[in-house]
Amino acid sequence: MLTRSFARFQQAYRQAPWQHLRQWWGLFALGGAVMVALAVLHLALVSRTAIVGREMENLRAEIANLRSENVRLEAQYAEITAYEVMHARALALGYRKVPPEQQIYVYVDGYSPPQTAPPAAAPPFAASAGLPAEYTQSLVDWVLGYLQGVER
Amino acid sequence: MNVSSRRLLLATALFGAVGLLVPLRILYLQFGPQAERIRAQEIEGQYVVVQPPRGEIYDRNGQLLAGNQTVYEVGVDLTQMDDPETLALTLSVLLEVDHDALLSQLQNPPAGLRYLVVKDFVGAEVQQQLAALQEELAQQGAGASAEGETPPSLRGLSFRQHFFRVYPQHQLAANVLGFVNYEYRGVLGVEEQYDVFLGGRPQRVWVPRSPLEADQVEMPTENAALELTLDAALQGEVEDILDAALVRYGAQSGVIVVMDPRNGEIWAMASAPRFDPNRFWEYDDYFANAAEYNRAVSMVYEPGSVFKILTMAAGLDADVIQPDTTFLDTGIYYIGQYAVYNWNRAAWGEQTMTGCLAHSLNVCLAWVADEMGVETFYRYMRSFGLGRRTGIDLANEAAGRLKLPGDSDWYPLELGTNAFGQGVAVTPVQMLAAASAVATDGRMVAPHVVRAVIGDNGRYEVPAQTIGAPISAETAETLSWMLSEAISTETSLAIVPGYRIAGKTGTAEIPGEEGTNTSFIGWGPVDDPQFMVYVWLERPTASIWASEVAAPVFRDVAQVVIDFLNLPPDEIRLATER
Repeated sequence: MLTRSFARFQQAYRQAPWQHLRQWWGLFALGGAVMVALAVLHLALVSRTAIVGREMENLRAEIANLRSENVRLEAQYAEITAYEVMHARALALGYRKVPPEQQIYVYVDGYSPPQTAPPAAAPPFAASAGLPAEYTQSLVDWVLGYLQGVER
Repeated sequence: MNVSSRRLLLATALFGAVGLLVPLRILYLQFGPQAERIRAQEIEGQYVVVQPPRGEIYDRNGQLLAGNQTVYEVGVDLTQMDDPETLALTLSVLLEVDHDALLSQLQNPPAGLRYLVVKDFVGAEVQQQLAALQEELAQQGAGASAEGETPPSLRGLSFRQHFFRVYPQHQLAANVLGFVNYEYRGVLGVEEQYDVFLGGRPQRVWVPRSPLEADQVEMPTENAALELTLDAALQGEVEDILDAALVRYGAQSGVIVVMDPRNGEIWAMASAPRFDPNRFWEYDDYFANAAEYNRAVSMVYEPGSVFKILTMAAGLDADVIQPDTTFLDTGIYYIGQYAVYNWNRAAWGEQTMTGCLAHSLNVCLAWVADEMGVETFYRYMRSFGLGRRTGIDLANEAAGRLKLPGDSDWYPLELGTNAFGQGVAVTPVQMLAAASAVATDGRMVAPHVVRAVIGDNGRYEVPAQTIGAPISAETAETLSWMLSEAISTETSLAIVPGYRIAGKTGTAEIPGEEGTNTSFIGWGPVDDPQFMVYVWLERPTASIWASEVAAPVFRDVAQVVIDFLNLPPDEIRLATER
């Protein structure tokens, strides 16, 4: 009973002329609103991406500036701690090298000096060390070798 | 239609129009004539020249030996310039360029030229002066133009920042490092050998103008840094000793190399003359050819008697002689029909092999070589690496020359003269590598100056390598003690008090020229060798003998190296090891 009444109401509602016109306008407006929403979303995303892109560019520029400053400071530090400068400063401050006869060695129980890792194994000695055959074989040796090669 | 319907219709039309216009506008901006114009002007982006800093070079303790500095290319944008006279005057004073030539270029530039490079590699201080002056004149100009005057202006002046090589230690280790030229290429030394790793050359990268494509910018590749085996402080002290020796003994040039015989690490490599690589354009004032840049690896010479170490090692290893084998020295020895004499043309009578080394008897060593025979002698000499590069990681290494039987310029007499270091051409590094077999356990180590390569992927340590094993460990030990005995009896100026040192002098006449080459090679402590030193002084005038010139230099260097290693005297060291 209730379903039937609802169906009648629905039919009457749809068939009203003014209602029919409004439905078309509503659909059109809905489509427009969706498009606007999509456009706004697109613009928002693009603007955010652009801002991030600009920040990346700024950060890259900042990295380049910092790197430039870093290499300048590193070179400057090396310059003021160079051997020649430090040596001159040490002498000016009154430091002198201790002559060997004044050096004192203290035995420290358990201390072992740093060890040097042994180098990789040597290549075979005889393989490349001997004189080339051209320098050692006689003419007879060469002819015999040549004939043996021909026989093979 | 009632009022509410009309309002509804109006609102719907309004929203609909807005909804339609926004996407239409978007489409217009994307594809309209404006977008076409932007594309036509090719301003989506541009190629930009970027330059990563060249990889640094450090010593073994992290001291910077070669770094980078910021320099500027100073130019004028001719489309922006409005006062060429002021520009020419200012730049000619601060950049030291010709005023008239610059003014002419600014006033009458070649057709189509929009940007004129005035000077490159300008330092930061001068650039800052120019920039400040430009700013000051711009401010003055703004006030003056309001009063109707034409003020001086540096408008159009522009700067391009880039990196360039700097050597903060100046001359220190210059012969090892090499230098970088205006084309950003490494020349000689480590700079040339490792040019690919160090990089630093400008690169063109595409930079899109749109920030939406910022993530597509190609960043230039990072370069690797190098850690050398050198110790800057030791290098400095060794260079000081070499410079003082050149003055003291009136030598023309010289070389001192300090190496760890256990792994081939070069701790110091001094070569004179040398220059400040920061001023690499003065190269021609110091060096006649590239071989003079680092004599330790590029200059070959007849080593003289230091070569006797190799002959004696071969004789002992081939079992032709023993340390106590005696030889009756009559002052002359014949190889075929040719005679060989001692350095003083004297007869030294009966000598053991140790005595032959102590008195540096040519005749005795010629006999040893003759006893070995051509085949055995040259087989050993080749196995010591003579006539071949050691493979040291420095550019322009010379191979030297060892004439072999069968070569068109080899004569039987060569067997006798080669035995005491004449008629062969070697580099100091070759001699060090060959003698390292005697200093240690019969294995030759590969000399090298780079300890590690440091890149994005971490630190790669260069492993120590051997390049041959020409003699047995027993032979090496025996000969070391013989050399130690010889030095303690005959070459007193090389003795370092408290330390047992093995070594040999070498004095060789320079073929066809005046003067001698004086050398000394030594290592210690003999029971546990931890350092090797090679000294070569060319054409000393104070004395022609290595025992009086090169030997004391060796002693001075050995003392410095002992301090560097904190090496206690043998007596103390051996007592604590027991």
